[in-house]
This record gives sequence, C-alpha cells and structure tokens, in this order.
Amino acid sequence: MAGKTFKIMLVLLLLLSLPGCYNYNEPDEIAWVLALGLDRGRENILTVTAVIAVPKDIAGAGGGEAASGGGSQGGFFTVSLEAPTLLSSLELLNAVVDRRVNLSHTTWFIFSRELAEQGINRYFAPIARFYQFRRTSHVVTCEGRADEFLTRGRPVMESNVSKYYELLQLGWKYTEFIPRDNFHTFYYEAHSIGVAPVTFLAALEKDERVFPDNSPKPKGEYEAGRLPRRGGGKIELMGAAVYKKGVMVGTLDADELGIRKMFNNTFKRTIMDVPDPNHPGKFIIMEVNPRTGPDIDISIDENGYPVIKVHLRLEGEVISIQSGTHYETPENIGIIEAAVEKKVMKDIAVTINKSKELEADFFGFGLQAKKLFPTWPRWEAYRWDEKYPQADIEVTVDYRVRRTGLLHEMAPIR
Amino acid sequence: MMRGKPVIGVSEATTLMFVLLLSRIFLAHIVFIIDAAANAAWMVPIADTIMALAALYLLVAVLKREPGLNLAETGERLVGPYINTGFSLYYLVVFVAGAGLTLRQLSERVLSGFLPDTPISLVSSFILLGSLAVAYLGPEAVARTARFLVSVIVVSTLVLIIMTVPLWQTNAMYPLWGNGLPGILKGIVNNTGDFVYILLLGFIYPFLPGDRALSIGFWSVAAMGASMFIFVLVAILVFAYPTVSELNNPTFEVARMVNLGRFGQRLEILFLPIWMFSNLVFLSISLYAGSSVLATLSRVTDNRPFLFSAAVLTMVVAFMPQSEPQAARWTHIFISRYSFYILVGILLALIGAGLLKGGGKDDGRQNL
Amino acid sequence: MSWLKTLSKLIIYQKPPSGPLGFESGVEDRPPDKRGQAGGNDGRNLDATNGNKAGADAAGNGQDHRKNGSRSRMSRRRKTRGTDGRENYPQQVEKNLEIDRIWQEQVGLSHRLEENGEVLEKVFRVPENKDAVFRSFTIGTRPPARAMLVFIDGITNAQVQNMAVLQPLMLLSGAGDPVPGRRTDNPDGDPPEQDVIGRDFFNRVKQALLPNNQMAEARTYGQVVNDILNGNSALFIEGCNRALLLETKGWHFRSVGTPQVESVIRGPQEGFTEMLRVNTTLVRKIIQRPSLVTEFIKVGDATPMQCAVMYIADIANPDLVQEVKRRLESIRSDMIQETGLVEQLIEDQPLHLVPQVLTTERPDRVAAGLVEGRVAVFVDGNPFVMTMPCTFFNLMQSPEDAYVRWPFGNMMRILRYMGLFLALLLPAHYVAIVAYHQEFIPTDLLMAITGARERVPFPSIVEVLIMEGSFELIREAGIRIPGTIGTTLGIVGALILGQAAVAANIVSPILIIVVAVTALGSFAIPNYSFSLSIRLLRFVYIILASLSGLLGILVGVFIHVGVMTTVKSFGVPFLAPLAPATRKSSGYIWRLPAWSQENRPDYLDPLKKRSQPELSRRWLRPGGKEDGKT
Repeated sequence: MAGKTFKIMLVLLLLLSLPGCYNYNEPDEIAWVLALGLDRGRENILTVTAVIAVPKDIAGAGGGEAASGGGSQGGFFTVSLEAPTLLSSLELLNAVVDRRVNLSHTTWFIFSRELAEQGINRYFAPIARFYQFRRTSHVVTCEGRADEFLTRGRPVMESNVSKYYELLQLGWKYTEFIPRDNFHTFYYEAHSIGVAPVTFLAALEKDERVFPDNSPKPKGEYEAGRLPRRGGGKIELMGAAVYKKGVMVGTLDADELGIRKMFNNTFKRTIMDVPDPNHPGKFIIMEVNPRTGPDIDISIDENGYPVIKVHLRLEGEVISIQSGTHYETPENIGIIEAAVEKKVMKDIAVTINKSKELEADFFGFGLQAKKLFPTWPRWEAYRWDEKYPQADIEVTVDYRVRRTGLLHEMAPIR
Repeated sequence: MMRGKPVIGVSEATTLMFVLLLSRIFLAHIVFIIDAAANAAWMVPIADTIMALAALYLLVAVLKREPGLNLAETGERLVGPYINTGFSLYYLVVFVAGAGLTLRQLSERVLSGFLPDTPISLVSSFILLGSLAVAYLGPEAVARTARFLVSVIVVSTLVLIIMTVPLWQTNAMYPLWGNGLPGILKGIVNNTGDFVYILLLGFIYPFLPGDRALSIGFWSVAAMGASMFIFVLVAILVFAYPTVSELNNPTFEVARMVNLGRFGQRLEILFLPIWMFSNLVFLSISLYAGSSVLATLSRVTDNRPFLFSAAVLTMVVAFMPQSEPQAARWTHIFISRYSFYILVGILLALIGAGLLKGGGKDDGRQNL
Repeated sequence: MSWLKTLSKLIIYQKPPSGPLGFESGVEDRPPDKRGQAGGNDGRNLDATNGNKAGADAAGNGQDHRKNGSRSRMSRRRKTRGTDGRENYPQQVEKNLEIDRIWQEQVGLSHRLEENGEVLEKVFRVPENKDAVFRSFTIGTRPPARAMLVFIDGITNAQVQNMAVLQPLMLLSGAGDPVPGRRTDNPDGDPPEQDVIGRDFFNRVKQALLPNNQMAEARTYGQVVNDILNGNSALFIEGCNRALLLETKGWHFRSVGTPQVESVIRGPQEGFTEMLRVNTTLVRKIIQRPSLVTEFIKVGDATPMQCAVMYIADIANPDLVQEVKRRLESIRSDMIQETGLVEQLIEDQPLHLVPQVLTTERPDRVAAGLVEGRVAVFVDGNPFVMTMPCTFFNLMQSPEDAYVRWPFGNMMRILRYMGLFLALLLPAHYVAIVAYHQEFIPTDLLMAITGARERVPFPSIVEVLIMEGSFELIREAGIRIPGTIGTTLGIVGALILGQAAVAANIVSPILIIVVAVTALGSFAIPNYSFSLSIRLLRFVYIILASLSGLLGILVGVFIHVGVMTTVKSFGVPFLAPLAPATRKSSGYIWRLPAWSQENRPDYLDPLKKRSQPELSRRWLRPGGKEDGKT
C-alpha cells in the first residue's frame, strides 16, 4: 500500500510541475527601465531614451558596504536609440543592455516639445495595451531634447532616481504649479469630447539669464525652462503643457495652472504674493487653500452656447505682511480679502482668455457639461469643442482669512 | 473509496452558486454590456437579475415535482427519454462549453498578464488539473471550499473597491441614459447568459436540504446581481466612458489603478486570488455538473468515471477558438446571448409537460 | 501492463474489497497445520521469542490472504532467509505454548494451594525470574488457614501490603468469633462440603478481615496473572478455588509538573503525567459532576495497554462515545505504548497530513473539551491525552484565549492565524514575487532586493531551500542538545549562521528575515502535530511557487483547501463550523466574551445544547444576586 501511494504522489507531483520554469526570472537578470523619453529622431523616426536602474548603486548600503559615491549618482544610466517605434525599442535595447528590459516600473514618460508639437497620439495612446505598462505613471513634456533631459537630470539627495521622479511630482499637494495628472487622467481626458488634457512641463536648468532686468514680476509668470535660478538638481518641474487632439498647443505658467487646478478640484494649496493695496510696491503673502470644491453651473443658452458660472470658495492664512499695517483687525481684514480676490480674479481672467485663445477647454468644463444631456449620442452631437470658445464664463471668488500665523499684530520697526 | 451521498448545507450551496456566478465578472463579459449601453451599463445587471430570478422560480417549480432527483432525471420522467436526452445534451454543452471557453480566456489572461513565456497548454492543464482534483473529491468538497474561500474573495473585493474611491469621477455617470433606451435594452437582452448557471441548482438539488432550494437560489442570484452592479459601476466611475469600453478586463485594470501613496501601488496582487479562486471553483463545479449529466444519461449512479471525460471535453473546447478575442466573442454569442433563452424554453417545456401529466410526483407518472 | 491496471484502478470506480482482513497476533506460534486459518501479517514472526532473530517462515506459503502484490515479494524473501529460530528449540516452544494456553484460556484455579503455586511459578518463569514473589503465610483465625500472597516486587506498595493485608490476616484476625464451619469438632452430623466450607471462609476473609479499599475475586489464572502484572496482589487460600485480588498498586511515576509543550502565562500550570489514574484524577478535579464517566478499555494484543475513555454522560452524544469505544476495542496490534500510535490506529484517514484528534498535555483543556461534549482518551504511560472529535479551529486555539480579557484573546487569535499563514505561505510568496512577479514590489524595495542579490551566486529558489533546510536541521538538532547548551546554541546558531551566510554572500539579507518570520509563525501554532504538517507543506508550496509563481500557489491552496474539507474526524468535517456551516456557530475564529458563549458547538450534537442562559451575569439585574431560576 505504501508503494502505491508513493507512486500516485509522484505522478501527481510530476503533473503539477507542468507549467515549468518558463517565466522564472531572477531580478538581477532584468533591467528595470525607470523612465522613457521620446524625441524626434536624428537618424530615424524617433529617439528613444531609456533610464535604466543600477541596483547595486541604489542598494549600496544594504549589504553592509559603504555606498559608492562616485560615478553614477542616482543609480542609473541612460541609453538612447534611434528606432521607428517606441515599443519595438524594448527589444532593440537588448543590443546594448545586458539584462532583459522590463517596463513594469516606469514612472515617467517624457515627450520633447518638438515631438509634442507634431503630435503624440500614435505614441502614448497605444501604450495602454501593453501589459507591463501602468496607468499610474506620469506623462511629462520637456523643453529641449528628452535624451539630454534624462541623462543630465540627476538627483542630488536620492540614490534612486525613480524616487526622485516620484517625489518631484508629489508636489501637486502643496504647490499650485504642479498638476495632479497621471497617464490615466491624461488618457481619459484625451478621449473625452472637447476637453484638453495637460501634462507636466519640465526642463533643464538654463545657463543664461531668463529675464533682462530685475523689475518686479509676479512669481506666477515663471514656468519650467523660464525659471531664473542657480543650483539644485538639473530638472525643474513647473507649469503644464496643453494638448488638443494629441498635439501640444501651448503652455501654462504657474498662475494659470493654479487656476486650472482650482476649477478642476485638484487644488490643495498655494502661497500668493498679493500687492498691498495701501502700499504699492509691497506685498502681502497669503496662503490660499480651497474651502470646498468649485461650484460649477453650466447651462445652454438659447443660441446653443454654454453659459458657465463658477463660484470659488477659498480660505487661507496670513503668512507675512511686508508693510506691517494692522490688517489683522476685523475691520481691516476685509481689505486683505478683497486684495486676494482681486488678484485671483485677474489671474482667472488671464487664464480664461488663454483658454479661449488656444480654443482648448483645459479646465474640464466639458466633463461637467455632460450632465445636461440624457444620452451619449446627443452629447456627441453637441460638439462641445466648437461651442466652447464662444462660451460665456462668469467666475466669482470668495476668500476668507482664517488665521494670522503666530503674530496678531506687528509693531513698527524703529 | 466508497462514499455516501453528499450533503450540501444551505449556506455552502449559496456561496457555491454565488462564487460560480461571480467568476463571470472577472473576465471579459462586462465589456459587452458596456459596449451596448455605454454609461448606463450599471442598469443592465439589475434588469438581468430580475429576469434570472424569474427563471429561477421556474427551475425550482420543475425540480420540486421530484424531490431527490436532479434536473436530467426529472426531465426524463416528464418528457420521456428521447426529448430529455436532447435537453441533457444541452445542459452538457452549457457546462462543458462554458468551462472550456472560460479556461481558454483565463489561461490567455494569465499568459498575457503574468507568465508571458509559458506555453498555454501547460497553463491550461495545470489549472484544469487543480479543478479536476477537487471535483473528484465531490460536490461537497467543492461547496465547502467555496464557503471557505468566499471570505477571502469578498474581503479582497471590498478592499479593492474601497481603495478606488479617491479615483471615482462622478461625472462619468453622465449622460445618465448612456446610449439611450434602445442601447440599454439591447444590453439587457444580449447579456442574460451570465445567469444561465442557475442551471447548477438543478444538479445539486438532490443534495440540498428540503425546500430551501428557492431561498438558496434567490440569495445567490441577488448577491451576484449586486456584485455585478457594483463592479460595472466602479469600472465606469474609475475609467470614464469611452475608455472603459476599450478594456479587455475592466476589473483587473481597476485593481491596477489603486494607489496608496508611494508605497502601495501594486495592489493587483489582491486581485489575483479573487480571480483565480472563483474561476477554479467554477471549473470544478462545471466538471462535476458535466460528469453528473453524463452519468445520468448513462444510467450510472456515480459520476466519478465521467470526470475525466468531462475534463478532456473541456480541454478540447478550450483550444477550439483561434485567439482570445474569438474566445470572448464566442462566449458572448453562444453563452451570453442565447443560452439563457434556451434554458427558459426548456423549463417552460418541462413545466408544460408536467401540467399535462397532472401535478405531483405520485400522480399518473409513467414508469420509464 | 500493470501500470495500465493501476491507472484504470485510479480512474474507474471500484467497489472496496469486502471481507475481513483480520490480524491475529501469535498466529505464527500455532502448530503449522493451523496456521493457514487465520489471515496474517504475512506470517512474519513479530515476537522475538527466545531471543532469536525474526526469521522467515518456511510454511508461510499458506498465508495468501493479502490482495496487493507484495505477497509475492514476501514469499520470495522468506525462502532466502536463514532457518527459523523456532525450529531449533522445539521443546521450549512447546512449553511456551502450554504456558500461554494456561494463561490466555479460561483455566480455572484449583482448590489446592500447592497446585496454584506451581502453576503460577511456571507462568512467571520462577525461579529464573526474580520479579515474582510468593509469600506463604498463615491466617491467624481459629483454626488457622494457610494462604499465599503472590505479587511482583517493585510495583506494589509494600506499606499497603504489610499494613493492610499481612498484618490484619496474620495478626489481627484472631480477634472475633471463631470462623463458622472450620471447627474441628462438629457435634451435629457430617462435616459440611469442603467447597462450602472454603467458600464461607473465603467470604469471611473478604468481607471482614481485609481492610483494602478495592478487592475483586478471580476464578481463572488469566485474571490472576493480569492483575498481578498490573501491580495488585493475589491472595490464595487453601481450600478455595478462587483468589482475592487486592489493590496494592505502587508504581513509581513522575510527579505532576508543568506541561512541557503547551505552556501558558495565565492559567493552571499542571500537566498530565504517565500514570493513568493520576491523569483521570486531574480531570476529575476540574469537573466535579457525577455524570463524568471513566471507562477502561484494554488495547492491543501482545502487551495490552490500559486506556481510559472519559466523557460526560449527560452531555456527550452517545453515538460518539460508542464509536470511540468501538474503534478502541477493535484494535489488534502488538504494543501501543504511546498516544501517537493509538491516534494513528483510530483516525479516519491516518495518511492525511492533518491530525484528526487533538492531543494535549493540559487537564484544563481536556476538561473544557469534555464539558463541550467531546470524548477524551487516556493511554497509560503517556502524558498526552486525545480529545475527539477535533476541527481545524480547535487545533488553532489555545486555552489562554479564554483566560485573558476578551480583546487580547481575540488579538492573540488573529496573530496566530497570521502566523499560520506566514509559516505556510511566506517563503513561497517570496519566491513567487521575486522570481516571477517583480512588478508587485514597490520600486525602492525591488532595487534593494536586486542590489542585495547581485552578489549572491544562487538563484532565489536554491537560496530559499538552503535556508529553510538548514533551519529545519537546526530545529531538529536542537531537540537533542542537552538543556543549557541547547538554548544558547539555538540563538547563536540562528543569528551567527544567518549573519555569516549573508557576509559570505550565500544568501541575501532579506531572506534571513523571511526565514526567521516563517519559523516564528510556525512556533505560534499551538498544536505540535499540526505545526509539523505545516512545516512539511511549506516545502510543497515553495516548489509550486518556483514552478509557476503565484498561479502555482493559488492552485495549490485550492487543492489543499479542497482536500482539507474532505477530512473527517469521527464524523465531524474538519472545517466545521465554517464549512459546512452549523447553527449558532459563532466563536470559532472570533472569540466571544465569556458571558456570551451560550451554546455548545453544534457539530458535536451534544445532549444539552445550551451551556449558559442568556443572562449569565445575574448581578446585572436590578436586585443584585440570583433570585432563583429564570
């Protein structure tokens, strides 16, 4: 009896080992691509740049040895290939990279501005079919060439460049100039009628001066690639690129992107320099947070054009008052509130003009307007993308100051 | 190994039927619903559930005439051996074809998502072997396994759904009527086949306690309808239309979208057990039911000799479609679209024959 | 084509073979012509009689009762072994057979003291055997009678013998009336029958002269010999053909100490010992009910071991008790000196990896089980007691869950289930994720794992097998290392071995953590035999994971659960009350507070379903204490 049982178990074990080890891949036999960049090609249609992780540099301190400091900071190297399409370069990369290339951990897809202005429809949309690809990765448009961007964009504080990329884009929570967008939102907004999706805008540090003189400019006018600064990592991430039907039509600078985030309900916080109404040349610095989401009310008027009414509710904290005036008293606090509202309205006006100029609805009103139609074919028939540039948009802002920081008044400096 | 007559308790039977029906969600079926009805696809499961409950009532009415016999045997007593053989062959086709096509889609999905280099026949045989091993142990074992695993399945599902809440966009529900009423009706009518597996109740009926069959069927169909509704709704909310209609496997994609900060991004590992367990239970019980039909047709009391033949038939059907889209399309056409109506037709025929013969089991019954 | 036959046997359903396949011990000692009558254990000589090697039996060709193919091999083997020991000493064998006949068959005692003494000397192989003692003395009645006390030295309590047997008979029996019927002078008529005289005297001795607290009468040599072997003393009186068996047991045993394997922090610290009587008293100390019944059953043939079956007669299902006793009584085996052996002989499916009875060393656990309606089986000479039936959830419970406060009890239970999951599946998941599904790991962690693996020459699966194998080796070795060195070596071995292995680049550091957590998880399982099965299954899962990743693990879990649901322990499905669901089956995973546990488990089908009324804390009512029944 024991012999028979043993034979049965042996047969079962052999049968259970049917699937075999076809897919057994040690993790150190795979090259992990952390970012992919696409450019217009010099010797072929595209230049595909892959950022490949070097695990032993990233994990340098794990085995009890000192981290190797020199050479590859950020723990990666890049390979740029000239290839006809994006995904076939997965195979092509293996001519150079000794390990099998795998896209499962790719966080950033970079398109250069040149390529974006030609149209990236055929590149980004079909990636969604590939099984290694994740919709939670991010799409970035960069000024200049993507291969340079990726090669020179090394992190200063991290030894893992994918952590650097992820932390950079996490700034959407506490800045107004980094959008909360990943591939998934980009994809479905691109597929929605009339809505213009945006991507991150990034650039390398510029060596020459951005502005000729030191006249005051609001900080909202900066964007990536036009940021006067020195030092830090090479990458700057600020602003957004607007796409319409897969073609890049324009960029948004910091303030405009902030307004877009307010209308989009992805706005979390920003710090605004409000010109002091009683002391020209001086600023009041306020933190602005949303109170609730924006109230968007869309209706269609008798001509068939949309009428959009938006009411924004914001609140915030006083961070500093440069002139030292006692604005914090209840009688005077309305002055600050009015000043902030004025600035926000100004920015809104500029942004709305830009969107009408670009004829791109990057606020996402098209997604809200769907509620007015009972069935999908009727919504399609309405042609929102044609009706939007003539839309009548009214915005009201309500800002309240909640706190004044640690001081409630400032004594004058003598 | 001599074994007594299996006994399946109420809650095990309910969970068995529930898991069986649930496994349909995790493949490509709901895509066809979304194709037909666009945003309003969430209305379709509700209507389909109501239709399924009606069919369930018919089924239980047929089964109640002869307690202790399964559907094939009852049919034999009602309409005679020749017509009943036709009906039994239909049941066999439903189980075997359903199992085969599911096996193919499952293996293809595993291959494209997780194990790309493995030959598909090995993956299929492996899965089928697992199902065969448990099916051999009897319907009791499958029912209890389903009861044991249903808590894993339900908890993981709830966790997945709750974690996608930040990604929901309520504007994806609008326009409210989707493709319009014709589209919704088309969706309802074309997709009832997902509920054809209430047929299983006919084959485990001899093992169920007394008169609880109706409540078992009711609760499992209702739970299945609710789950389908939730899944379709969540898929639409997370991926707005038309994006969602492109997906091959919407529930899997929903699992891949979940994002818990920087760390918890790869939660489709939670999806894999739900998917595999429910489909393994489905395959096991389909094998059991197919072999039970064959046993009844051959007038044999024990179904185990036919398990191997049912498995071979399943494997053959699994490799008949040339490609995965063809397998999905065949499932949609043959199983989702027509099978339910044929089943209702058979049940009506059986009830009609029963009325003609006079009600009850002791009344004017011919000995066949 | 035997493989074809085997395959067809597996696929095509076959009725089980009918007819008894009985086993009889001692068949090889019967005369050769009678041997073919019994179904045998292939005629192999399992008794090592006369110290010879167990040899082949040349006349065993008649034993063709087994249906499997092994008989042909056995008969071939038989012919090639050496000559049988029994053929060299025929007279000895004859004598042994006769002695066995006296002892095992119902040969009655004789009236004469000398004859009884001679027979007993022959049975006990006196004078070679120095264990048996024959003490002749005279009972000091008027007129005196000759008597003999037979016992085995060392297992009797000399104090009791001297004070309660010899002293009253020899010294104190003179007080009192002269014995009727023993007077030498008889004024009226014929002397009464010898038998009647003997019996009267015997009854007088039994009822009035011996102050032992337990006494029995014996009529055959078999009863006398069995009781003497148990530690009692046998009293023979001249002229009676019956013997008195006196309770003088004085075995030496380990005193009641703390349980070795199942220790708790909060709870009684008594554990069972090797004496059957002491164990049953420990349980009776906890359950003081008149309906607590202890039945004695002797199990085994060559050396019957005393087993006790305890149950509460008004709670336990009589069918269950009947089944347990039936299984115990029908065991035919040589020597079953450990609970583990009895367990394997009465389980439903002994080849399965899960135990179907719960063995425990703690009396409070046995008592709790008895109150729920289970049956307990004690084996003499063993501190482990079996309770049956048992389910998966019983195996994962520890008595401490009930003794500590409710939230902590549940937290510990959850920890234990997590430990079970980790012990079984963690290494398999490690292999599956690292080798097949690297997309499931966060990028940082993946880089750390890969960086650590750069220096390791082995693939992940080999690493895991090496570490798991060495851990099992450490565990097995640690059992045998003597006390103080053992614990130190365990810690030292694990830490330094792990550290050295990492430094030598044989394994990656994360694997040390995986293996350590796995080991801790397996120690969290309260039941030893269950944790053994988990330790074995872990390797099966590792192999499955290395072959097809998570798919393999999931199919493995499915088959495992499917097989576990078919295991039955004395008719109760192993996964009850989860699957199949029973009535009011709460409290198997998530423990209820002590005042809410109102019903006994339904799968035991006890005679009394309710264990507490709904309001078990009567002080909650207005008016304070209990005011009569509800």
